[in-house]
Amino acid sequence: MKGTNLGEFEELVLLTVGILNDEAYSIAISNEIRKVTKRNVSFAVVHSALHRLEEKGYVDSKMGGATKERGGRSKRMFSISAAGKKALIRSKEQRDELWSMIPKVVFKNI
Amino acid sequence: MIQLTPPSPPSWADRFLAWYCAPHLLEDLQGDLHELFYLRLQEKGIFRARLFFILDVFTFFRPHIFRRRSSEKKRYRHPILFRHYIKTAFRNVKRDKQYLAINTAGLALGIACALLLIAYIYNELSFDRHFKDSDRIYRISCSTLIDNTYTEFAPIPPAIGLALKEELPEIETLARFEYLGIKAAMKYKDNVFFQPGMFLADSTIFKVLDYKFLMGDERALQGPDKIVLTHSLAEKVFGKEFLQRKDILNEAIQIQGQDFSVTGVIEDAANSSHIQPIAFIGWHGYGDDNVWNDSHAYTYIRLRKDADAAIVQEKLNKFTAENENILKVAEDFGAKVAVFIQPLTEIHLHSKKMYELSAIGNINYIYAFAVIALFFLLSSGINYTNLAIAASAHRYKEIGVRKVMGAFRDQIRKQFITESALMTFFSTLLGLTLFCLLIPEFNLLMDYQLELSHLAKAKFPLIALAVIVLLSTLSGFYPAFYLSMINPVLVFKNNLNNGAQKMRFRKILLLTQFTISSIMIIGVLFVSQQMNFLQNKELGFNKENILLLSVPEILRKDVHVLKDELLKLTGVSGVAACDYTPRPESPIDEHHIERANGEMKSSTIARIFFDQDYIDLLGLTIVDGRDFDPTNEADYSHSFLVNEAAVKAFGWDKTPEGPIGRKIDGFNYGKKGTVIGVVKDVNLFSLKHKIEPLIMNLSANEGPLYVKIDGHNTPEIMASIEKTYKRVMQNTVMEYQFLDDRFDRIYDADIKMNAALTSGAKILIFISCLGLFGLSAFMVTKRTKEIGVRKVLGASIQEIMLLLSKDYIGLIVLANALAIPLGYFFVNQWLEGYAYRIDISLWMLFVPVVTTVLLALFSISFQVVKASRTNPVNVLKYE
Repeated sequence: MKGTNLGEFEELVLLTVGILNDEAYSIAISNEIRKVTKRNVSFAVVHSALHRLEEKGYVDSKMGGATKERGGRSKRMFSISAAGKKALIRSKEQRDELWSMIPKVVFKNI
Repeated sequence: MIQLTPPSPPSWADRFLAWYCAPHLLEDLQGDLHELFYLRLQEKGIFRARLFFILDVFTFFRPHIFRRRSSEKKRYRHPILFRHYIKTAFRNVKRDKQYLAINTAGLALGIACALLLIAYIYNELSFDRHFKDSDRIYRISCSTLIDNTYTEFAPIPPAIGLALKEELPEIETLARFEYLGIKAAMKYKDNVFFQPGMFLADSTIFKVLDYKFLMGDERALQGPDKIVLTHSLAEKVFGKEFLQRKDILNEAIQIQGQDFSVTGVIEDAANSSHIQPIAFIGWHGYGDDNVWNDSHAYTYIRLRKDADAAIVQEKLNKFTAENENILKVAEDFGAKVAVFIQPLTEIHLHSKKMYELSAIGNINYIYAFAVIALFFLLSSGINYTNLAIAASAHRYKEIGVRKVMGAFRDQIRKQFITESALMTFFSTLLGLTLFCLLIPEFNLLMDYQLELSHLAKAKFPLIALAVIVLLSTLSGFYPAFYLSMINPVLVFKNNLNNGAQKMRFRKILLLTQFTISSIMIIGVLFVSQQMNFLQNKELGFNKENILLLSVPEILRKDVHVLKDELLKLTGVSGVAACDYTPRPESPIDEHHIERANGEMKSSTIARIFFDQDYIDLLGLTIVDGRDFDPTNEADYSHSFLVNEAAVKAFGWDKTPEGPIGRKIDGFNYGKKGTVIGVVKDVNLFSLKHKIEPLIMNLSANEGPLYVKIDGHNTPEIMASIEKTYKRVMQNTVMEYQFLDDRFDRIYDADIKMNAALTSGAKILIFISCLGLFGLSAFMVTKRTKEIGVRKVLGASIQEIMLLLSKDYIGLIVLANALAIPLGYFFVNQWLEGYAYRIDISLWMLFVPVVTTVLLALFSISFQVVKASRTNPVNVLKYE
């Protein structure tokens, strides 16, 4: 399957979906990322990242939670899919492994 | 009280978003953007909130947002439905075989004829493009401007080519070739024959023009006394299986009594080449490199890859202006001389020079043919569309039911597109078959060589495919779209009045079709009238019953013996010799001619040589001075006759001295003398031009022979002439033509055009009539009840016929009103190429009107008569 690996930003988004749990929709996700990372991420970028993640099958979505500000339109609520969870774990394991292989000397002078 | 409306995002941006966004993404995206808007409204104020909203809308304008989900399209694609479409298509076709026949026949004919014309155009445009690097190959030609007469020559003096090769580093290779006489005597063992089309050529010829070698290689002409044969000549000399023989290379052939060794055999020149050699003989030792004043060497160059043609031309101009030899020749001739390069690929269609190597195509005919091809496509496409819509009239209910049962508009469209795809597929098959069958007919008609095998190799199949696909989609799509838009409710309320607008559209199509037909009729009418006029125009002499016998050059010395022998035959009333045979270009040469004021000035003017019997044989009359006297030696070397046009051209008629005794110097053929007589003007040359000034010379040994016979028993006379000819001319095969045929051949291209136009017009009109026939059938079916009621109420058959045909007649008259000015415009353009042309009279304008109306009446009459004859009871019985 094309592009099943997880990009850095995608991983960030996916984790945020996990953090927000039941409240994960695009605006909340982009606000959260901005808050945690202090990066000035635009809404459009988050939206398209979510779109990509859904295509890859790492998130599921369902409609719900309409509000007045939205003109009565539903939100698209995201949740991490089983594949997404696996991908997150795999990515974490890879990093841990890499971390464990770095000689202590490298960080000595920090 | 002021009503506060809550601030909202700009509505146009909102609408834009809703328009481009894929439906399945719209809901949440739009919601998100609105939510963002309200968040920003509180933080940053209305202006910024709106601005960001607009920015967001535009940043989301991306493929993954506006691309519709593919599964959406797949929703109702179903193999069973597709099978069903095909089944209904076949059922419908079965139900109405007449419609099937008319529709496929019309489309197939249109496709076949259009492809034929496109193939012809393609072939004409591809002339000489098969040579390797054809875009780098140029011909060097020259022009002279003498006393306001500008003449371009295809060949140039051989010395110029040689000098240019030295002068211009841009020239990679240069090759010259020239004719080896008109016909050369060729001998191999016992096999003796006269062979035209042989060239003397530089050994570099094969580096410029890459002929394919079957034997030998491109060095074949290096060294003296070498000859390279083409495949067909090699077959003629060595027999059919010559390729199996190993000993052919270095075999000796005798040409004009000289031995040459065969050092190569090349493939025959492609039909689509303006150079048609039969053999190349090495230039070495035969060609003259020092000639600066006679244009007879066809000179072709291949430029270096990095060379710029414009710069080469500039250098050529500079060279011409400075070269001493050219300057001297120009002074001798009293001419302004120019030398220029011409791309190889443009020669066939765009060159109109003296001494071209082969008959030159005409770009205007290419345009004309392209227009006719377009006419064919339009006409058959219109036919198809019109018939398809009309034929679907009895299927409205079917469409209605389908829609009620839940068919999408898209599905109806698909159904009808499937049907028309099937229909056009069969028409295309039929059309392609027809195309292949018509190629030989076309070649015969146009005296042309279209080869299927050759076309198949080139890009032509792709072009053909594109044309067919375009035609079938365009003609098939409209009916499909139109039918898919039918409102089922109206269908069932029986209230579908078919839409006046739709009717109008079909009428416009029909109008176009008949305008095309009328234009074609006008074209045919005028072209054939003009050709008729040319062939029957009084030339001022009698061209009937005159035979032209060719006399090979080396046998010219015996020509008087042949003349005497021929005169002894019964049925031969006169024999004369003249070096001129009618051809499109007149035999011009440079002269110094005395003007009215006594000054000698140079002039480019036609000149012919003939013997003492020519004037009598053609019945020319001397209007001033005297005829040549064959017993007077001086008349051969110092006397000229001129025609009246020449007298006028040089202003001699305006002086008291008159034309007699005026000095002429034919320096190019070394004859200096005076005018001894004036001949009444006759049209010896093409009628495309006014009668040209002409200088006539007396000469004893010329060919061909003009033999005047009395018109009875021509085959018998011919047989005895042939017998005598063979006896005197050492068994040479007699080649002959009739003078009037030869004159007609000047207009060969136009005659072919006429033939093509006539056949094309017939087919086009047939297609239109076919369409009208089919259309009227449907119209009549729709109005059967009306006709029934009218008959019951006492209408006569004539009245009903009038009722049914008057719409169409009006349309056709309107079509003619459009066609006549258009057709007249085209025809006039064409007629301008002729100095002598028919006058356009009023009756000619009525012919297309009457023809089209009659043809239309004829094609609808079948249906109308059938309808008006039906017993009203049968029609009205069922309600």
